[in-house]
Amino acid sequence: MQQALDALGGFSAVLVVLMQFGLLRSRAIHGHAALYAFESLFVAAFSALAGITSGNFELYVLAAVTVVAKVFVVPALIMRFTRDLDEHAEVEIPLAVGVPSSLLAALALTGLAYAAALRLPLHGPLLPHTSFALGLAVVLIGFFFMVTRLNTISQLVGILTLENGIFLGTVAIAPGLPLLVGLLILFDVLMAVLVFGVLVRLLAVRRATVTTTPLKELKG
Amino acid sequence: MTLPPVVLQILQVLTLLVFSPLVSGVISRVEAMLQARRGPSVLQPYYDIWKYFHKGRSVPEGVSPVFTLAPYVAFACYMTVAMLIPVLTSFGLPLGYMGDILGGAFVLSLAAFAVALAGLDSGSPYAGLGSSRAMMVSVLAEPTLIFVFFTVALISKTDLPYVMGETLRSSWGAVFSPTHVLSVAAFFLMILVDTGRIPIESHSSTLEFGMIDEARIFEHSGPEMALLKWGSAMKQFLLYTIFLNILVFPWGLSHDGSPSSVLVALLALLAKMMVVAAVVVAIESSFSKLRLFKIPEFMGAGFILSVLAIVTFYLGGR
Amino acid sequence: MIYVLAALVTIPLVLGLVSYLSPLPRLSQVLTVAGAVTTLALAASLVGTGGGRVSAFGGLLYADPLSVVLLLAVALVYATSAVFSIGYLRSEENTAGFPRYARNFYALLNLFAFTMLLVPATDDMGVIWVAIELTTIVSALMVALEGTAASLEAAWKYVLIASSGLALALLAVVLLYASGTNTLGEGYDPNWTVLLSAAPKLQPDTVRLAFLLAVVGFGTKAGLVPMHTWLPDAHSEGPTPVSALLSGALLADAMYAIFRFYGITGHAVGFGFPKTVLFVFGVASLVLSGFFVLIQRDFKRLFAYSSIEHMGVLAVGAAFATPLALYGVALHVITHAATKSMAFFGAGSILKKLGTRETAKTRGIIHLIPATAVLFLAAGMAIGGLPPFGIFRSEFLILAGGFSEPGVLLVPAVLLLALVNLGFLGLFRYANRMALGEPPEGAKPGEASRWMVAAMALDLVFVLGLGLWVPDALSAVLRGAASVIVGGL
Repeated sequence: MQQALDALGGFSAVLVVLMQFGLLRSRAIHGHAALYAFESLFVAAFSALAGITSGNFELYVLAAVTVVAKVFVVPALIMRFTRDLDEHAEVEIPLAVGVPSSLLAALALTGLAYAAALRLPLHGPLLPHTSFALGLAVVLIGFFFMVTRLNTISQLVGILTLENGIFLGTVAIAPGLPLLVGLLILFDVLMAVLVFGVLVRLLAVRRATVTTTPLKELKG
Repeated sequence: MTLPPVVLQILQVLTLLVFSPLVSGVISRVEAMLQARRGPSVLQPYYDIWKYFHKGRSVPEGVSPVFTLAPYVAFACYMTVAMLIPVLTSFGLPLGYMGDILGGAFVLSLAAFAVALAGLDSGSPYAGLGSSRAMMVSVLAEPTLIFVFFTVALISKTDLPYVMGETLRSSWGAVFSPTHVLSVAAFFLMILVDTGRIPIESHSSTLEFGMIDEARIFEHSGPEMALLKWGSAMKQFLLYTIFLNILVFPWGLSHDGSPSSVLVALLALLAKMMVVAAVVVAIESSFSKLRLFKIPEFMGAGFILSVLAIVTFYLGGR
Repeated sequence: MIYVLAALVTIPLVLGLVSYLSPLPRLSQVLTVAGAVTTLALAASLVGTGGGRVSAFGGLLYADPLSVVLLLAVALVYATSAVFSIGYLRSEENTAGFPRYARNFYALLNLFAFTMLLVPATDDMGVIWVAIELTTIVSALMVALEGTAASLEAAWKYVLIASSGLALALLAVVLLYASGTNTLGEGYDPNWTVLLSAAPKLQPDTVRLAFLLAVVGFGTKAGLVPMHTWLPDAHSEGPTPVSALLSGALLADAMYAIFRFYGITGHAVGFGFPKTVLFVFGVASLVLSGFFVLIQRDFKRLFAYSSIEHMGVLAVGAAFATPLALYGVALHVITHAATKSMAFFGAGSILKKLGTRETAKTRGIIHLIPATAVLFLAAGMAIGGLPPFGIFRSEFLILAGGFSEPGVLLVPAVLLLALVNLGFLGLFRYANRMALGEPPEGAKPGEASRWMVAAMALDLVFVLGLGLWVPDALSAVLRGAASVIVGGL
């Protein structure tokens, strides 16, 4: 039983990373939203499995809230932001780095995440090293995704996947983190999505585009 | 009572010969039903093969003996592979040890090579096109397959197909381990590629420009055509068998070689095949064929999966 | 004391909701000023009580001397910003979208203050992170309030970079938590006090990684080089009260989060590692911002870069880690908050008056707006670190702290001295040029608003007052804060 739970947990963690790889291949906003929804679903599954293993009730609650917030609400919000910008949503998102090179880079980042995570003597109830490393990989690939996808919505989805990766890592190494903090973080995510949405719309209205290429007036 | 190993060995090959067209037939029938057509009978592949055997041969001018020999070579290759892998029994049969999983892969490659060579030899532009495309695809598929075999071999610490299945049977939880799932997924993608399914190729299309595998055999006719058609059904059956009896669900095989258990193993295998067929049909009906230039991207996805599997294995310790 | 703390956090939250619902901009205005000044008074009263340690609701509400320093700094900028906003919004009163703009402005201003006051008022590292992330969300909307293309771009850049950085900071919090599960058990509250008392038994490698991620993550928010790229844009494109809050209060909040990690890390793995990290980031900030200050043509950006410099000073001061330097760091948080908001208010007044942010086009404001100009000049000198202003005292203390252990810290201390002077040169050059000379043609003399001058004058009380005399009560709190930074319980 335990072995199967372990394996299923590892399986859902791997699926999360695969969704992240899938994002690198996705060239359309509805694809982004769908992949993000699935990714969140697998994160929630991981949390629920960790709940079964450790008997920690809070993890079920987190899983349930994650499903509601990140599988349904957030993707729906993302689609809503882009509804008025349909002509842009259908166009392929411009990439700074092509798909095959992105995938190779993501593979290298995954390796890096493993190498880093294995140096830490951390333990958790569920596949400790693998799952934490995979969470770290999701974070790194998320950063890469944000840097190389020249579209405001893509960058928003990138930020959101960072949080997914961290959530995965958290459940793997620190499942006891109090529920309150977890819920507050989820609340933060929702707020962030709303604010990002407002900005995306304002930018889109003003610039008539969702690509980031024209956003280079300010040099830092 | 147990059947002697020789009989079992022969039964494995016979299973392949007899039931491979059935699987193809079922797939096209279900697919047609999903598309709200009545579709051909599940026995249609048998009728086709029968028909081709009774047709006369016509050979293009100026071809070498390769053209005629290739179908026989390919057919023999497929029958050989059936001896190497666990089709019905969970224990190794006498000839099962004459090659490991890489050996099996090489024999399958030899078959593909022979057919491609015959296609080139025919001198027909379509057959030549199909052959060169098929070679391109298999060049891209090769690294992934090798990685998958390596990964499975690393887990089971052997490259003998029988032992690989046994490793999985002994720890069923490992079926869901990330490494295993990733390599299975990669292998499944490569099966779609090697059996010429969507998104690589459409079986039902009659448009020559989109063809890969089908185009190679344009110039063959009569008994050779029958062998090639039968052969491609056998190849599909073999790949599904490897997928099921080694990688995904190595249960239901005969442990002692008694006639009843062999019968159960056969029925179990066919039942498992139907499940895979259902998945393949679902994929065929929900995706469209990729443009030729997008194929490398698809192969890339498979490659990523297989490399991730190995990374997970080495660094994750599982 | 705990009720004071609770009130301190609740007042801005309630005001934020009221402002959003209130139909009259004038009502929100009055309430905000009243509430903000009350907040300042409450924060000052916390100083008066000596800044002991209080904790309630399992550490959700918490204060120690370092918190009190931050609360005072944030409340000060909040109060002066509220006063300044009256004048700042007055010139827009007749535009078409004003009621909507004012409603959003005041609602966000109060919520922003709430989130910033929450950061130092809790013991829970998770809640600290959540509060800082909330500040990003709220303040990004404030930066975007102007609605110009440039302000939208700045807001986008800000929220994107800051949220990415904070993602790393969240990872840091998680790792810190995980480093303690061996000794503290699977489920414990990630309170700073809990972690600090368990620090010697935390898993060292994990703590190191957590500290690094925290410095990079919260450092993004604090504008440490090289994670500072959003800062000059957001500070210069947002409305002036927002610039003041961002610069004076928010950056200090982010540094505060780093300090919380600093103490724990020091106790877990020794101070050598965290000192080096802070020192590297601090010096990088000083060097880069020092040069950028010299070449700025836009005075709001000028002050933004100066803020980066001062965050560098805080980081280097914490890296010195001698009691004197840490006392200076705590004082610097307050003096910088007062001085920088004053400077931004001056800049905002000039902007309203002349309609330009370019230093080259700003001349002779002393003839146009004498009171503002004098205060602005004072702020410029204070920011540059001239006596008798507060920043001089705090920077001097930090330097003296650095020199007090000459063996190890001589080189860093000399570096700091040189770099601070570089920044000073740049600032002073511009402030002089802007104040003196012939005013541009066609500009009419007269202050933009008395409220704006009042806000600056209120700041001056602190800017000058702390330079001349540090009250005993405050001094005690600062000493307490100094020991808290290096993890004194």
